[in-house]
Amino acid sequence: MLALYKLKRRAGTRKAFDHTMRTVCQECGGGCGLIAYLKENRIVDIQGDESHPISRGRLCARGTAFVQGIGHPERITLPASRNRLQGAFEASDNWEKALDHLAKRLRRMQERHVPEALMIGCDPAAGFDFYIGARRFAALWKTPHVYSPLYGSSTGNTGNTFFSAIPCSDPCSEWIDSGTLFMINTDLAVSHPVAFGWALDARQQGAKIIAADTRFTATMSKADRALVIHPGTGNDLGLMVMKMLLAENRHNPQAAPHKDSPAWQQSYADMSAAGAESHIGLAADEIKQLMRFLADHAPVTLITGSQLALEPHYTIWPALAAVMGWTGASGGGWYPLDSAWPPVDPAADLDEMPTPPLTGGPWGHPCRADGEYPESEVPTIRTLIAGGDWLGRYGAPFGSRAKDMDLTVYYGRFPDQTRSSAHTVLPAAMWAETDVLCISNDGVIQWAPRIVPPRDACRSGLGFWSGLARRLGWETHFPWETSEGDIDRLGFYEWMMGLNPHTAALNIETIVENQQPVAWAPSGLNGPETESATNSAAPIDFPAAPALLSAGVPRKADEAFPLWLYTDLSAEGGVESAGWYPWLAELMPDEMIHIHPAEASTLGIATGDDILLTGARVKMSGRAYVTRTVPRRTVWASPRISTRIIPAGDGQRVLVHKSGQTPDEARKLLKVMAP
Amino acid sequence: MNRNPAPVKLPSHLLMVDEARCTGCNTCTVACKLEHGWPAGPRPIKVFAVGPVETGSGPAMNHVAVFCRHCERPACVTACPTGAMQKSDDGIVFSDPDLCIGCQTCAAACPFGVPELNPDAGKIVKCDGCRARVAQGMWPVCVLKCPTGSLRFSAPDRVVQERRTATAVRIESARVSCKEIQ
Repeated sequence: MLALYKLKRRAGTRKAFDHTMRTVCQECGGGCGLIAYLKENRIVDIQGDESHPISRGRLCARGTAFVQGIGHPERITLPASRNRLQGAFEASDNWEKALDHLAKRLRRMQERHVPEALMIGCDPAAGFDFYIGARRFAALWKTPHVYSPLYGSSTGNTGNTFFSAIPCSDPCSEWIDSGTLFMINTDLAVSHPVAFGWALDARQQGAKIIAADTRFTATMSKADRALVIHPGTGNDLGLMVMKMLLAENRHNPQAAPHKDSPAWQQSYADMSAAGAESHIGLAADEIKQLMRFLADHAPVTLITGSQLALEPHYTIWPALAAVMGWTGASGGGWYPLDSAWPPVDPAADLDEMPTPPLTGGPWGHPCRADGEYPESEVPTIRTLIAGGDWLGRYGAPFGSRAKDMDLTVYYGRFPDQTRSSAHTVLPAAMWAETDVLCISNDGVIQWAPRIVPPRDACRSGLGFWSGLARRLGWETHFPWETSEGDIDRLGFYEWMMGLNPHTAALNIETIVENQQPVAWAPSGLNGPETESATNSAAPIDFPAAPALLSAGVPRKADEAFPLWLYTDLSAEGGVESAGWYPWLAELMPDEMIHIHPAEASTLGIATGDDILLTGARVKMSGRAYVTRTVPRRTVWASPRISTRIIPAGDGQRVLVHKSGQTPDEARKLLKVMAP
Repeated sequence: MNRNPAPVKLPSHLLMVDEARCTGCNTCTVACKLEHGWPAGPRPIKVFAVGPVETGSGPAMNHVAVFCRHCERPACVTACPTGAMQKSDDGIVFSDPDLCIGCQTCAAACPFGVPELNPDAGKIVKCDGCRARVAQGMWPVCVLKCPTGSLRFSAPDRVVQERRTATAVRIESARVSCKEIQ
């Protein structure tokens, strides 16, 4: 092979500075290293950390534009409150007094309602410490209702339990050794551009990229094979691939975990694949070709989007990687995006909690309409504490009820939808203003010191919960508040690491001192233990295949509503705030309804036309964008226009027509058009 | 009369985009704005997603970056009425904000539509090749931050050489995978 001498990178800043801060970007879970240059405690430049093993000095647009969020003129930096939602906010400059006031209001709620009437919604942008604090606070309050789209909901473990069992995550730098990178329901090129750089390096070295997603994305434009699948069927595609691999005996019989488990294998043979083709949107032959390609081009890294974690049968991915023997091989395994947290139960030492009535229900799950749940099952929530823009982004089904709350508390940064529904506002610190122990996609832990102190009265999520807990008499369960408002963050993270046997073995002082990514997942990433872990005698208990694959909605022809409406909502951290950074806001795609040229020309729709979209449960209007990013018979609306109206991620039957055209005219035109 | 044209100012460095690696993430634009302190609005580098178009084997999409080419005979420099737009000895075309009156004649003259008005300052915004950084031996920020390594910056012959080597590697690996398939 020819040697390719890379150009020598010449990094640095030309700006005048008096000191630098080396930290980790937390706009997403990628874990890129960055260097902030400061003069008189103001950031004058941001550059990538050339010595960082994940990012190699590169950064993305978000990792640069976050500086605009810190000093944003509209940022909320002072507490505020009001008695009625219609009233104006009264700001105060004292965090402690604001918490006193809030604690008083909460105590009143405690006296008036059952504990289950409190719900806590966590936008990932509020921080992992906000979520962990929320889980502890909820356990003390005795409410089961804590919801987050990223970290898992309610009681029990947070994080990916399969990380405890097998070494899943190779660092992205090892993709270079991959035969194939199979990306499912993730637009990696957009959501994690720096990691995608490693994928392109791998491709240059001969690895193939296969991408399966619901639209033709930037990632798919770089893939060797692009498969457009129906929304919500990513995990089902995995089940089908597994079924076919086992049927053709292409799996590695020596690989853990199922060499001794014929019953488990049989469950895949028994799984009915009836209707799978129309359910997933791929012909059986196409899936078979995909399966053979993967088997022939090992090792394969399965890169799965965070949305898949919220859908049934997510465990198919670690199972597939393990059964094929990809796990543990350099360049092979499972790389789950934005869910690489060690399993921890932050309320394990507290009393047992009641099970939530809505396990996997609408509040933690951004994909379900509340209409799908009987009214009687929806808990009577009277108090809502929301971290970040939870109502605007994830609690959409709850949105209409927000105005009926006795008390809504907003802990956040910008005047967003949740803030406009709140009685009490507490200003949140940004990630760049707090010391954080980052857990990144690579399965590594890194210490990320703050770049600047928090603005005005802003505090961290842990500070918020600790302060409240002290006022409610629970300070022994939040022992990290050293004096009024001062938080021992190192102590907090040390306690958190102690909750998981793998992270408990690590020394936080060393991590802080070295500021290097440390692999926490079992057996390390390249270490000698990898082999023993992979071949360990104890079989991993992967769930058996379901009896029926396509448990979803049957994709029947519907004359009244002949098109499908898709939307998608990425739960990656920081995306929420991106709209508040002017440099990123201008890059965001226009809020338009995307439609395929075939249907558009039949209906006489051109880009920019005003169109109406109606369905059994949906009604919206917008401007049309005619594009082949959406498949035939499909329209797509950006989450920004659709989350408040339709459940994100769900395919829904709709009809589209131009203004001036009647629905029946549009139906007639679509009926006669060729399939 | 001297009939020889004025000697062409050859660039000491070349910025090249490998479109096969560009994903349209716009890091280059944002990096440029932080470096120069420019607001939202003007886009010194603008990446267009072209497509998807239908091909025989499914949809295809490309990302095309449009930015200043630092032309040998730049129309913007010729058109500028105040002499603000200049070409430096190292080949960089740049606008001197002290002389710029924001008339946008350069914008109209540029065949690529690159110069844009910064509405906050009333001055033209365009790529200055990160002259101040390059003078100190550093890469332009867009190249340094580019997450996929799509942007390259070096002496012209060095950049070309790298592309050639990369092509050879690509051909070789394609040959290897062809053998595998056979």
